[in-house]
Amino acid sequence: MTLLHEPARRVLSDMGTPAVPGESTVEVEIDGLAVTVPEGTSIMRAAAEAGIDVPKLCATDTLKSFGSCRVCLVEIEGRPGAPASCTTPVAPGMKVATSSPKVDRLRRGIIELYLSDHPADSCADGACELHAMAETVGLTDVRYGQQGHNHLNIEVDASNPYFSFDPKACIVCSRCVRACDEVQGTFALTVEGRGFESLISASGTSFMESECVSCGACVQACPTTALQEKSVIELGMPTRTVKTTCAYCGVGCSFDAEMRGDELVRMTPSKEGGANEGHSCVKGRFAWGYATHRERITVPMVRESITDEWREVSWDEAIAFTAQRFTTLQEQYGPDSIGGITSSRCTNEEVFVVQKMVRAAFGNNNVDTCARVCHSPTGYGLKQTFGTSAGTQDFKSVEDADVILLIGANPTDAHPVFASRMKKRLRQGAQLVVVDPRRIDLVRTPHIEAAHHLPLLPGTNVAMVNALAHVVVSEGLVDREFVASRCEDESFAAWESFIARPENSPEAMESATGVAASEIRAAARLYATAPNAAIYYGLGVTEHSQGSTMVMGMANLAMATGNIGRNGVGVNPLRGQNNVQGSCDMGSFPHEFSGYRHVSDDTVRVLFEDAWGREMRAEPGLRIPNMFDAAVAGTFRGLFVQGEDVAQSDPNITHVTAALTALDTLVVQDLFLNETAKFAHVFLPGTSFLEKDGTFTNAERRINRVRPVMAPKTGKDEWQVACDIATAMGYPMGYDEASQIMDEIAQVTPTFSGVSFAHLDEAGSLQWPCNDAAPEGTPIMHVDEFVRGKGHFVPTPYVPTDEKANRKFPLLLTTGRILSQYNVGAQTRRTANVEWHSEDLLEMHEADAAERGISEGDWVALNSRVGETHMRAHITDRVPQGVVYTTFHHPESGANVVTTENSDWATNCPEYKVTAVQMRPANAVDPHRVRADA
Amino acid sequence: MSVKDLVRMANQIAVNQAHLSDDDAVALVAQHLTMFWAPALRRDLQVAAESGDTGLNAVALRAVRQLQPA
Amino acid sequence: MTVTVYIPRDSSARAVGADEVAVALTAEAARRGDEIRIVRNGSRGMLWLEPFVEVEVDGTRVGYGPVQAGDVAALLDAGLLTGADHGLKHGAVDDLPWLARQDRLTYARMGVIDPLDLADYETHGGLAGLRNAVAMTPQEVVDAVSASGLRGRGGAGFPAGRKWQTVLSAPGDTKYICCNADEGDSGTYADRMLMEGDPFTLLEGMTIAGLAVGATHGYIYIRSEYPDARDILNAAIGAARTFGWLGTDVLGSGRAFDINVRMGAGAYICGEETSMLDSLEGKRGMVRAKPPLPALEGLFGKPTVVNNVLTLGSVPFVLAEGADAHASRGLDRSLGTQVFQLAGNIKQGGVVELGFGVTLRELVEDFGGGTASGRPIRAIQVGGPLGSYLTPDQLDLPMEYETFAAAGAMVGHGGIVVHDDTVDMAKLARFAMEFCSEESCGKCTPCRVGSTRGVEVIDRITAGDDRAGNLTLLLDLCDVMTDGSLCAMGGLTPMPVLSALTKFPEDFGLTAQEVTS
Repeated sequence: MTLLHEPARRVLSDMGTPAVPGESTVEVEIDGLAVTVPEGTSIMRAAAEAGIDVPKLCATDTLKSFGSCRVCLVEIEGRPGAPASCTTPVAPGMKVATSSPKVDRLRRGIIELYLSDHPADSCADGACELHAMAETVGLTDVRYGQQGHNHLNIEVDASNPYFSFDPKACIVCSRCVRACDEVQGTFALTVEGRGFESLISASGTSFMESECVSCGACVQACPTTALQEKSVIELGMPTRTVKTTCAYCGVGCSFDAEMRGDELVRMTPSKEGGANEGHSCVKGRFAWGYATHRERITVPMVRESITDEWREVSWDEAIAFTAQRFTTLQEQYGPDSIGGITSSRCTNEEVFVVQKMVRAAFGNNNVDTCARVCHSPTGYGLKQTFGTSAGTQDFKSVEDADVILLIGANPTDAHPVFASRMKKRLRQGAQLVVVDPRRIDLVRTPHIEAAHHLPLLPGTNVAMVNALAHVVVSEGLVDREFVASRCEDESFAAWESFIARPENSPEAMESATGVAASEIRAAARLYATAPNAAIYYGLGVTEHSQGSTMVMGMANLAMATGNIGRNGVGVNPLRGQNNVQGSCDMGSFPHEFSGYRHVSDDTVRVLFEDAWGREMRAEPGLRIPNMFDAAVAGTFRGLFVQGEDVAQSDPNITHVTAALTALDTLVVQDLFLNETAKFAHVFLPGTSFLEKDGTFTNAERRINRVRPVMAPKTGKDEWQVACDIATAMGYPMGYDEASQIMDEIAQVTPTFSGVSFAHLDEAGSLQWPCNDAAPEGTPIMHVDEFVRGKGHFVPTPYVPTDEKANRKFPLLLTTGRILSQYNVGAQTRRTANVEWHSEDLLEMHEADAAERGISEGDWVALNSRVGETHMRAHITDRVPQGVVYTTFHHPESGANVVTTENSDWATNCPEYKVTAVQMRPANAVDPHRVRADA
Repeated sequence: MSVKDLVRMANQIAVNQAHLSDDDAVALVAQHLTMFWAPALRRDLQVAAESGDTGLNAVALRAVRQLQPA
Repeated sequence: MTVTVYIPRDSSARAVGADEVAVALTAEAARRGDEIRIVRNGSRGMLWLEPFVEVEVDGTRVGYGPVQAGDVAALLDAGLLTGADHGLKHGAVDDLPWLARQDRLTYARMGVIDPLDLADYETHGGLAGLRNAVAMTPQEVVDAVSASGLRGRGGAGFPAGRKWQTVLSAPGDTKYICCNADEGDSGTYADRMLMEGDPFTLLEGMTIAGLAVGATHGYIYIRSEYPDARDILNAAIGAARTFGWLGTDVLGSGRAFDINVRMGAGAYICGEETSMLDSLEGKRGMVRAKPPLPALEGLFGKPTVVNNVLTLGSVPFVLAEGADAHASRGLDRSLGTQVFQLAGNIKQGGVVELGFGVTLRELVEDFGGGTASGRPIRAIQVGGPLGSYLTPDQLDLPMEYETFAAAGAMVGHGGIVVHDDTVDMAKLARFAMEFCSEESCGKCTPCRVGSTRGVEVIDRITAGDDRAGNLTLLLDLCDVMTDGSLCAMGGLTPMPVLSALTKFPEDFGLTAQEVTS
């Protein structure tokens, strides 16, 4: 493995002010150099383009110019005074001097003022731009002294677990306030007091008690040490950086892992990152401490029976043990008796080798991925309608959207960095329609208010999308030109006549959705008549009995209104985990090879047989729920689970644990001894993202490089483990380094044929398809034609779920994610993020609570027809009466103890979002005891 | 594999083709089962369908009967 | 027969007992069986005579003042209601030289009418300008304002017509008229008096502006210290809406314009136009960098006319009497009139509206009558707390923008504050810095930090601590503040400081030679 060979990259210095888009240009002369820039560009940026670095403190190119520090003053020929170069736009023929006796004197005078109220010792390791600027302007003596009125006795605010605010070092440049406003869009910070008493304030309270979401934008923006990562204070400034990709959600933010020696000091978001453009959230920015958590397992372990104690063994022994047990099972119960599950948290390369191990070494198609339980309907639905199983846009596209239809997603919690981009667009005036049972933050948040919130009953998405589409068809809002030129005539006609039926009207659907028809009509008109309307959706769409139907329903709606194939439109899944897209792309589904090609396709099978030298099965293998059912039935005996805690994340946990208990051999590869590992015979330690060499593919099909910042703590690359098992089972599999796996992926996958580590290192990132037709990737799909040729409409009859509220279970439970936590919490619970969210709470409407005598904070017993769990009550008006909501980040609460085996008809994606439940007050209980009973 | 679960899932696929004519729905269900279900599951369902009243709805039953021997 | 008696409702009159006089007069007249009608008019602007009571006798208004409640019985005894002689009687108001010598255009109705009587307003020439404007195209209205030579009365003196033209020409459907009524300069009160004494004039000026540039909504941003003006404006707006003037159909023109009043929270800086816009938007009042100009990106990012009360208050005259009538007054490029305000150590404080070009001496000596203390004048600050100190040898300067600028001073909002020879100019210089440090919005460094350091450095100079070194530092600081500040607050604070320092070095313990070398 090659450690830390970061590719040569263009280092962007801070240009001072944001780039100005536009065609017309202006030529100016700066310090005698002619430079041509877009009209409206600041003098500061024009100077930077000419290679001249104008001194500055309050300006940075991620924020609008502000003009407060006055260090960037320049002289302009023919104009009086000394205007600030950051706020003064260029004008044709302008002649600017960025240095002159006058401005040099003014700059020194200003820095002298700053330093009269700034601690002299705050510039350790060059962390303070003010001290650097003093050096730049040649200031040596502060004549005012430091005895004057000052802020040097103000207490540090260390309330946030990850960073502190030291007002002593603050120069009140407002970069933090502006970052919070403009970049993050939370508006948690302000300046309090006026004149000399002006101080940065988290709106009058501590950072931790404020609205602050700890995204780190303020820390990133701070030019001094006033806002500083605690890790930097503790460990010192980093000395080298490695560019890599966050391992949390499907946004896939690029980060600079900043190291001091072999120790990670901080993760800072990369401005060059296509997904995040310099922004971050509390998880990616700060919650990486789990990677070195003491509970991490780094040595392989085996045991004969799950009642035995674990025994630490060598890698060789663990591999041999695993191979021997799998081989024996296949000999005894047949080749189909074992299988594997790939992880959406692992790299494309790691996923690819696991599915290859199953198909080539196990000799069957019993491979599935955890995307089964989140976005499998996306794959199915978009493939049916558009021809490929992926979102249509890049994230940047949202900047051109005029109307955003957000369905079953809560981006400010689950995809915070994309949410910030979306909020920026909404603040510019784009309109928002939220379809969600729960009043998510975006319905009303500072400077944003949804035009419509359609709080539908859980389980009625298809009724809603049909009603929306009915309005489009019946009110003459179809984009006939788009449909005629881009879509199938026949399938459109069938869909049109189906959707026009009275039973699909908003009025007819009102009783199902619980949403007034007039609101639905208004929302449909808004979407259909917008110049650019974009759909964004999350698991609130997919995790239903009609998840796939709903995905197709949205695709129909987008096609019918011509909202496909350009910037600002599209159908966009917000992927839950970092590599959901990638794990699906890599051939993790039992019916598909990499690149979404069905196993029954002879040509494709021959391609793989030639490449891999083994015969491939033409029939689909088992899906995850099938595996569990077959395990209980006794026909499925061995399972390899890569980085997924099925015993916590999958529905109806009682059933899952019964299946796991029934297995003869369960192999778990993970960072921690998770819930699933309790049933395992082999534990193979995995590597954290800080140790991985590979790629993640985010929700916009962007393939990002993951680069190791440290050697694997396990002593073995994770992709090597699957290779070793396959080899030990008699199928030699091996690579010298991870890049060779990507080379093989490119060789066998047409949409990846232009991808290689070298190309990625050079381009920064690539969005597939990346091949001869699109050598630099494809930000927007289906531009001139759909991948499948013509767009295919699929009628989407609404079929109510079997999971209905009734007398015994009168409430509907739905689930979601909270900002500070992630999935089952294996990572985030092992960080200080628990300070924000230390337990899962059951949100309920006050009427439902009152009816049952439940008060805020009470322990509540929650039961469905499959199980019972306990958590504490939170009474809120976010959920309507009849609906309760919780998160599933903590094993103690075990939300999935109550979720059922119901699933999407097409893909078996579990119906997590609808469970009929009842609740009652419970005495305070020891959650661990309840958990053990479950 | 529990036949009850297989029947439930097959019925669910059929119910979701309500917009189609019965013949088209049968064809689509059969195709779906072939494309996405492991042979063992189809086989179990076929065996059950031949053995009497399984609870399969009309469309699903016809589709299962149309399946190639797995 | 009912006798009409005028008792001002202006805050300056109420502050010295006008309400009590009204109560006493009502009670005393009732007791005597005298039939009177009391009109609470605006102030005539002769503040040393407030409460200034006028009695209408045979169509002539006869003035008495300053009247206290305790004087009422004696005045009635003497025959107040017939305009009889009394020690407080000043005679026919229109003939008083102090008023007769003025040229009241903006203040034409000031003190004459009942501020909230729209019929009274129309009788005295109100709404004529707006009616003319309604019949004109927007461009014609803007052209008239341009031709009149009207310049911003708030201090900067920017041509109003040019600003309006920018807003008229700016693309966009939503535009705003914002009236800056955050009158915070020391020694100024002309805005307040107009709002309290003749609010319809301001509303009319704003409506004309709205029609001219295509704005349908106006805001009056009024300082928190002016609750009376706020109440009167709100009442006037209500009356104008009922009348069919403000609202969806301005005087039957088919065009909409409405006005709302917004109150500040006590920050001087919110009188700076961009801070005012921030404050109007509900934000902390912080100065914005220009460009973009508010005329292009103003309130809520929309093209916005920001004008002072007196500027907008001058517009009805321009439209009623014509651009030439306005342009015929004034001097050089400072056309029309200014409402000058006399304050500080002055014998006869009050407002004087005259064409630009009147000398400081005429205002301070002829109208003001010199110092209240009777001692010699030592320094005069013109144009608010950021204005230079002038000396008695500069009394013959004509009040005109360019002349004052050439003299290192500014006309500003027309406030004139007089100090006699007991003043300590070092203290005033220190106060200038202190004022800045208190009132700075805190955005830019020269103003935020510099003003605090300015106080400290001046203290060291006056304490005799390294006078030479600290003098150099003070001069350097003033240089940084003047050229480095974001807005006029920090940029002009050195004006009073440096003028005090150079003209009165002895107050700092320095010699003229030390200061100039």
